[in-house]
Amino acid sequence: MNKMLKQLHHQGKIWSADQVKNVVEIIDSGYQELNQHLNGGLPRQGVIEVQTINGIGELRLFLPYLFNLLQAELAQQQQSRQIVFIAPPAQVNALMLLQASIPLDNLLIISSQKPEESLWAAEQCLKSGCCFAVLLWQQLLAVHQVKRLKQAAMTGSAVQIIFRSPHSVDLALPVSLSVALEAQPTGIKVKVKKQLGGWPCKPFVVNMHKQWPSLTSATDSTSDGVISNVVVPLSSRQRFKHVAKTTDTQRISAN
Amino acid sequence: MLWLYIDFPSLQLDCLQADTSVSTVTERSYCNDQAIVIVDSKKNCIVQLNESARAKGIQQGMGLGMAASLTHELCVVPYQMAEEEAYLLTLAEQLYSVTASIALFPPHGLALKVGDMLQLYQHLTAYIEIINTVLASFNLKRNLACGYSVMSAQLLACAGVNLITTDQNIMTKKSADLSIEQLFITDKAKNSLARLGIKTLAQLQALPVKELTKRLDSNTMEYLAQLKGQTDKSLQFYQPKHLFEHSVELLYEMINLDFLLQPIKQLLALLEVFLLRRDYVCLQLEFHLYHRIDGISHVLQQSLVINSATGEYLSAQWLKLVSLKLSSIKLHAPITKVNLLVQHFQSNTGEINDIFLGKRGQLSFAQLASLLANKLGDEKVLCLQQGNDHRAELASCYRPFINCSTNKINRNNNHTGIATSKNVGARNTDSSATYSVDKQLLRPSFILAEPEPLLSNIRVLHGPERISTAWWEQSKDKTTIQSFNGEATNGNEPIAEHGYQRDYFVAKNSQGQCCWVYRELNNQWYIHGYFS
Repeated sequence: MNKMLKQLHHQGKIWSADQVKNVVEIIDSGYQELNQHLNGGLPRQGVIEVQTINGIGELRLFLPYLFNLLQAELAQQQQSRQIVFIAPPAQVNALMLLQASIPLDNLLIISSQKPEESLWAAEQCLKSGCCFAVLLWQQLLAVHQVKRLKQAAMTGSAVQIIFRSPHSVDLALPVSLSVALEAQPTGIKVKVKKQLGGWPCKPFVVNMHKQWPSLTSATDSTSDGVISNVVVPLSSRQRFKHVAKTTDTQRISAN
Repeated sequence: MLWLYIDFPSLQLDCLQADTSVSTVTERSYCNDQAIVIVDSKKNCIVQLNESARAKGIQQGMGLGMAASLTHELCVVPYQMAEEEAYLLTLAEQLYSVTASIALFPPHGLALKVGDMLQLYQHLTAYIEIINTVLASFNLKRNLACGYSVMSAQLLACAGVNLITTDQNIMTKKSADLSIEQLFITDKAKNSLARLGIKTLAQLQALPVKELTKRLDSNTMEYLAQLKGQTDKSLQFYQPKHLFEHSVELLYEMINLDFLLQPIKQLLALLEVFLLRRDYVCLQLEFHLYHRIDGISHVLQQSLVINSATGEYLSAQWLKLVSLKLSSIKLHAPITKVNLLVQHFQSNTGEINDIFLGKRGQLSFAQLASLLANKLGDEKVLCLQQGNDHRAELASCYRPFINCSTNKINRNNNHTGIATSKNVGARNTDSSATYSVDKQLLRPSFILAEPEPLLSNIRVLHGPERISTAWWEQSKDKTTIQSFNGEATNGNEPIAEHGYQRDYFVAKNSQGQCCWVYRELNNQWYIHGYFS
């Protein structure tokens, strides 16, 4: 190996195929498509970056994974460790977690407003060793911050999932897995941006119709044609006159 | 009965110096050559002074003016008897672990009943050695003297005689040389004895008692009898309190919170010993910080309450929490005194850890939660609970973790998983009770605290589902709703908090976001949550 190559290898900038063995344990994500494209599932340790807008099913994508993590924990020891939600975009609903069979005893919510507080809390939770998953909603992330989180996740054998909006500054962060999500009628379109120890793949659609029949449609047909169930909030437009200019095209009111 | 009397001639001064000696290095070097005197403001004389003050020619009993003229760099501290007494109690508390009967002689003396303890320690030297090791950590100037009566031991120790012996002859020989000025009798009695030409104790004791009773009052005669051991003095023995209260007075006013950690560390170390001896843990510490206002040296500035979700006794763990708490507070004025108060204790039941799996991280969950709560504030570290209501915003609620954690710890300790009947009862009344989960119910994963007006087009997937307030709650707010209906055009009206009737829909907007929207009676549309 020449000197330059050796140096790059030493810095960890080159990934060689024999590192596959070191890749951490994989947990079933609960979705067939996801397992197929991600070498069998999501990592049990490390940092997962999710670029998504809120409310398209990004949490639903991870709920079965969290449940499987919990089961794996319980299989190893009687008591399970905790899940921590840090700075969620709105109040977390208990019913959602209970429907996903995640007990509320295993949950801690930290409603910090300042980003630095959130990061501090995330690091503390990860390295404490009593949390197995930390979900963080955070917009701005620097490389060194992710490195610290990764180190903390290794210490506490936990996974860190970071939700960010898709238009955030796209640095090459040292995460274990980075995915970008997009809404689809049948579920979610997943674009794998980075995967530790995996091959690049084309964007694919995760079908959620089986798990969530009422929130997704069975077929891929974008049923914009069905006009009878489109609501244009006429009254609220009247109330907020200053925003009324924007949506004047489809004026089919429910009243 | 053999007694040991310990006199601390410069208790307040030694405390002051002990507090500062553990402070930062820069302060210590400044402190070492600083002449400190403690002045009794009533008598205007110096009662305690350190070595460097003595080197500059200052003597005990001197007036403040004279002392000030001897050196220009003089640190003057007013004498505070209450403080000495408080410190004396601390010493008694420490000694209580090695010796049983401790009589307090405020402000700066302790009498220990040695006779009983010799059965345990066999020999006097062994006993003294133990006492000295306990006192060594305080670094106090002290005189120890033995006597066969409390008063004779006190007399020797206060006269500055160090005498460790069981031999009565040596004791009498030593005390015989003492002048009557050193006796604990009134000045009037001393005068009348001086007029008789009696200068030493030996001369006094040579006189027959009958002769003396004619010339001295009854109190003095009683004292002399106690000195000989003929009558017993009624003594108040130390009883340990079920409370931890200690304070550290700072020689320098501290504005830097990092420096403040040093005295706090001292207090926590004391607390650790206190808790360890009793096998207790505590859940809450109260720190009181004092500052100076208009010459009054200790005025309460602020109190810090530090909670831990799990019972702790280790000072290192507490220090971590305290330093986090300190990082979030602001001082208005320099601190002159720190006080620590712990009122409630729990017996240390210990955590149940699997011996084979062991602890994985450094912290337990409760420790982590208290760490977070102390840094971010109790209101930001929350746990989720179900509520018994059909309205989504009330069916799930946040609660500060610290408030519901005791419940949780009990459950964790209950390792077998069999809830006792008492536990079940407690949980039903508590809002942490679990209700049945309807798997079919469509509810959003995130609920907005304040519903937002719907501004974009949506495509309805499901609905409507009518949710209205129960009639008994609605009746209260009926008027509000009606008035709200009437003024539908005026959109700035706040939404009625309690009474409402809403038709909920699950809908998708153009971005593909799955929203939980509702229509009010007056056809106003709002977003209430998102299906993430």
